[in-house]
Amino acid sequence: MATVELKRLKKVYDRKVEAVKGIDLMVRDGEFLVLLGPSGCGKTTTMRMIAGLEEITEGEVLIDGISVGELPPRKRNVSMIFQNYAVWPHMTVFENIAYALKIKKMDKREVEERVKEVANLSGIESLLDRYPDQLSGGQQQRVAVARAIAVRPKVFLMDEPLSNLDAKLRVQMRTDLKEIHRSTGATTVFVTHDQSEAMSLADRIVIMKDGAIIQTGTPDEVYHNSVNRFVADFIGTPPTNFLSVSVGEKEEEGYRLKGDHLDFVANHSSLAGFEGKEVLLGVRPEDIDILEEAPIEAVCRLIEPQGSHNIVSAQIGEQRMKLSVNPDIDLKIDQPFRLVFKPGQYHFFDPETGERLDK
Amino acid sequence: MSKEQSIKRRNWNQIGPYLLVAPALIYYTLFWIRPVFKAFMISITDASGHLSLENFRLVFQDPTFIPAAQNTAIIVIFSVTLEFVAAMALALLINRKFKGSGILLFIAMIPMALAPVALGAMWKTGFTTHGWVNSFLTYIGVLDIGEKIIFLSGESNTKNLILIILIDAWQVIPSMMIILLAGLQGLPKEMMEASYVFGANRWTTLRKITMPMLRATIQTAVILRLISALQIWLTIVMLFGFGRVPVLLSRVIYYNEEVPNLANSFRMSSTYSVVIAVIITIVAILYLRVSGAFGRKNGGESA
Repeated sequence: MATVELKRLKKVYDRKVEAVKGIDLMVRDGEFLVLLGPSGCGKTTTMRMIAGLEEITEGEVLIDGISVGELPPRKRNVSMIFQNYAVWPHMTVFENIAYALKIKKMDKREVEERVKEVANLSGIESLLDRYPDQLSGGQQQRVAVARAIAVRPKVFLMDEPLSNLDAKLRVQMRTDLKEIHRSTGATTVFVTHDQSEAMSLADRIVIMKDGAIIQTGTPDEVYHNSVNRFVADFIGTPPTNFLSVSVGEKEEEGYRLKGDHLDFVANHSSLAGFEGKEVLLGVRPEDIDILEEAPIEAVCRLIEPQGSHNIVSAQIGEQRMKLSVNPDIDLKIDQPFRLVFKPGQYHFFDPETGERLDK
Repeated sequence: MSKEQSIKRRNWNQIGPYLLVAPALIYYTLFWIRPVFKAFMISITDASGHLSLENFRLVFQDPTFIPAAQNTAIIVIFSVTLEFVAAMALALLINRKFKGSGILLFIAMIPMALAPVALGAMWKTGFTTHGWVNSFLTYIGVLDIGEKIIFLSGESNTKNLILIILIDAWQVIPSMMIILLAGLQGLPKEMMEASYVFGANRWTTLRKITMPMLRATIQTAVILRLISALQIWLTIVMLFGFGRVPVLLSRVIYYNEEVPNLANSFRMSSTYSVVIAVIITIVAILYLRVSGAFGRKNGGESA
């Protein structure tokens, strides 16, 4: 299939707004890469530059090593799935899927075969004679998917394709997309602002903010080894908890950490050089244990049952945090309990720059 | 609620809606249905008040009827085609939102603000032998000093018609362009972008995606233009008077204003109106049928 490479890719609107600030990125052959970030981070602009729908201000886009910056979209051999489906309303499902094939002057019988094949793959084989306004949103999105597969592109581009679907359908389509990717093996770039979508789909996630790449890594890497506070906060539901603590002198078992209602010892080499300073401790909701003899006292403020686990809002002094707790553990609202952060499962961040200390 | 009150309420519910539409109904009856009906009645009665098709015979045998119908047909066909193509091109151009497209839109809309009389007067002063068109052509060097083009000689009917079509187009393109532009701006950009990604160039996208999706808007714009082109007369009369380039509607005015004292002036005028109304209705229905507004196969809730 194909690789996509971005070299110092830059987009400037109206000569002043820098939407994409010169990013470098390599999408490997057959990879499912997700561009993730809050709205306005430049992820969609980046994808539109790959597609050729947006002019490149500076830098290069290479598909299979060939610079495509000057080529119109139709010559780039990419296909795209749009957020609002962009299924043409005046054509039947069949005509929608066959559009690109007919433009390529493909033989009539071949077109028919190809359309049937991709319709089967996307589960819309019974809808070929319908018009889009007779279909549900999910079905329309399947038509868009079929249309995209039909041209056998080098690269799939997907611009938030699931965000207009209702929650249940979204999860189902997510699974289907992953399966289709597995069976076609096509290089895919997927844009989303939904971190759980990114986590479940991606081979690698690229987290963007303000037109720049913050971190690139597998879902596991960005979740457990977030490079800074922004990533740790953006990934995960609920997100990482942050507690401000001051680092004490090194003792036998590690550094003594003190904060509002906090006093415990952590053996963390990254804290060297921060003695006497304030740092941010970041810990994921599931990396907290509730034990009777644990060193930290907290008060249970709220319990949100999720079935498989409960989300507990706890208060430590003035600071609030969320815990993911086994429903078997009996907690009562406004009652104190004791907790401990699992050793090695929490990180420290610079309170000013937000960078992780032990990078 | 007492019984009396509830009866009052029921009465209001029955009569109220009619009272509310009554003013509009009266207005339409007095100023629209009555004159239309009256014109129709006049067209089918003779001088002595008996039912007769004599008026229609006179209209169809009027030596000016055929040339008037021909001129109208030519103007309608060519001006509506020219106007549609030009308006579409302009709308597509302005819709691309380049630098200065706002100013272009503003300039393009100026002719729309002119009344037909002002338009006629303006081009009349322009196209007379010593008018500003000749002065302008001399100024930019197309014509030698002292050389003149005689635009309004009225000798060549083709030349007259071309002039009329151009002037009409000049005035009408903006209003058509605005309707098309509104339609274009209502189309989701993604529809066209999808077409580009899936292998189409601009021309194919325009033909296969933009125009079909714009069909309802195009129908509206064209049908409005067809009707008003069939009713063209004032600009022509301002430029050429009643005699040289007759069109159907100018015959109505001719009998009413120019020769009001003939025994059958008023009846001829009314009969011409009825004939024009029938022609307009037929053309409109034909156009809607051809363009597929009835029995929609496309994008409908039901296929």
